[in-house]
Amino acid sequence: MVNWGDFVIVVVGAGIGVAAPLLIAALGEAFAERSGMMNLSIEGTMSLGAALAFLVGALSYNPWLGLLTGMIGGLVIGVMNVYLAQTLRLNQVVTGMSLYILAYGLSVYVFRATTGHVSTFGLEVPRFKPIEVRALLQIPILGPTIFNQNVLIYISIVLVIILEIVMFKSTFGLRMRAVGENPSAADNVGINVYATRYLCMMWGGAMAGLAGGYISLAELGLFFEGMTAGRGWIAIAIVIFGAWSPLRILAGALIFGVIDSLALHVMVVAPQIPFQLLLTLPYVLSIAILVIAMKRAALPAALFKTYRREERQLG
Amino acid sequence: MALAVRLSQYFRVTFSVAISILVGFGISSIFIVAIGSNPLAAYVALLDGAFGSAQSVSETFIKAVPLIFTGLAAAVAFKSNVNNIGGEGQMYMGAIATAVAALSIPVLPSFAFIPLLISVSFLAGAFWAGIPAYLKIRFGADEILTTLLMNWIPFYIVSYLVTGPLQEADKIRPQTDFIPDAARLPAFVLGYRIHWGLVLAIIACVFAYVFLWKTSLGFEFRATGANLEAARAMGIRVNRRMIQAMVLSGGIAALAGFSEVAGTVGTLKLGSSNLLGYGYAGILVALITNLHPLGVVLSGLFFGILIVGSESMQRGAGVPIAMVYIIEAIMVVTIIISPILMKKLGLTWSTGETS
Repeated sequence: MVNWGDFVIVVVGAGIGVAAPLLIAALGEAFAERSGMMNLSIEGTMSLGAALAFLVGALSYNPWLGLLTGMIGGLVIGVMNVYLAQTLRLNQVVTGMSLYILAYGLSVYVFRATTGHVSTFGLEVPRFKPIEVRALLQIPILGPTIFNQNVLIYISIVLVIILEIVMFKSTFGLRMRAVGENPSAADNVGINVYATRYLCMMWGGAMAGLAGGYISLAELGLFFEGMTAGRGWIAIAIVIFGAWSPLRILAGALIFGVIDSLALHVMVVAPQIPFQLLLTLPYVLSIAILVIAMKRAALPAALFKTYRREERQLG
Repeated sequence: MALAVRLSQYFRVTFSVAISILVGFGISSIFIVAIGSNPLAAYVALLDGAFGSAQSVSETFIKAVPLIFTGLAAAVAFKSNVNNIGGEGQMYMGAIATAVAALSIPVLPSFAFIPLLISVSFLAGAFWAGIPAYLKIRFGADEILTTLLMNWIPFYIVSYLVTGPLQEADKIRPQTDFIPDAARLPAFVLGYRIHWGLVLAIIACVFAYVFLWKTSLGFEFRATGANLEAARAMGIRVNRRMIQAMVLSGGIAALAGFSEVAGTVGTLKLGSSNLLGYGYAGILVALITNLHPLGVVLSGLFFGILIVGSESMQRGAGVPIAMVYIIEAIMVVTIIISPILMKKLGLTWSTGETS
């Protein structure tokens, strides 16, 4: 007999864990898109971040150094993307897909070249484990859900608040949104469109690398080919669902995480349902999220559009 | 005179692509040197793996078949302003439909069975692509994301089928029974695995070229892709054209799955499935030819060489197989930016046909 109270607590607790990498990647992508750049490479960037974070984390036995390396790897992919898409003015679908394949390939390549294996189920890596503060854990309901998480989750929540302020209350946020809405007007008032987009894409890449590092260092403690399983794309769907705002993205990621976690736990209590059916749920759910969000979505007006300074309207 | 101009354009394009490929291999060398291997030895191993024997040439062509289909699918969609990134899932749908139909309906003679399977798999892929097309037109849901997300669903359907209701009679391996011989695409060179799927793929590319460039409906597809607003102003029903392009693209991608199940493999399976990744690679295959259907034949073959060659590169030169992804991506970028860089450097450049 299932104890439903415990079941809900377990589902929500795990759901927060599922939400974390999506949230981190989405927070980066939101800034990139707000500046007018679509970064379609984040699925591959996450894989690269996961591989680098795992390798450096395992070799140095320092997970923080691992995360940092994953972020730097992601940042490099972000720079390449913005260089190709903004400086060389290639189509953003082309650059995104190419860099997705490049980053994905690099993750497997680097891993194989360093360890001699395609995946590691043996290599020891220091993981980010839940912080166990006894006093907090004993709080009913909140204890086992919110206070039974690893440190990265608390950091990302703080980050949400900081980023919400940066996006809507800071000069930089205002300028960034202007660049995404009307780059030629922004340019006319002296905002550096290129610099803004480079910065946002670097941030987006670094966050995707961090999200990958979360998966390999906090969630699983291992790396294997294809481990990101489309979560980079799901993160982009959550950005749209969250209307490009950090707080709403947090809500979107949590809703998604809890429903996904519910499916995984149903698998355990109801083994008669084919598990493959439940595994398709995140993707079906993401599509549903997109359809719902699109009815009221206000995309950054210049999203996907390469800025061409010589074509700007003066005025 | 006109012919001479065209020939000189073709020559320039060929020359530029050849240089880009060399540059691409040059840049890729950095990654090979970084792990302490010798790039020259690696590339010799690559070419040897792809062309070393008649057998390996046959394998290279076999790998090219699904890539030509998925590449053509991407080219048709992108050319018409729909970003179909769902070739992977549509290919799986085609594979599923082929296996299910071939195993469930009574055995027919080949001349009827094979066209029937082609139609069934085409429809399955077309249906799968129709969903995101509908969601885009009806709700404005971005098709890049919906097609991508829909890639995972058929993957799990295959996983369910080959371990559940459709698993082989022996119930050992995660795969279906082999489909009847009458449903198989025959090999066309005795003793080698290369099969008629290659011919079908090339025919599909020729059809697509004729359709897009020589018919008025095809013109409307291209006009929609070239400039949506202008096409609408011309009275073209752009929404309808985009849905049609997406559905056509999905059907073509499904034929990659058909040719794998009915041609190369003979069964539907997962795990060792060599289906994995052709859909994504197909997008790059289309991009490096500037979305030209006939170019897809060559670029599909090029990717086939890289894929088959990468296995021998790992055996012969110790370069991980994943190098193939790196080379693929670098090739796309070098080939696409070469005209831009040449322009920046002040070299004259003509792209041949426009839109």
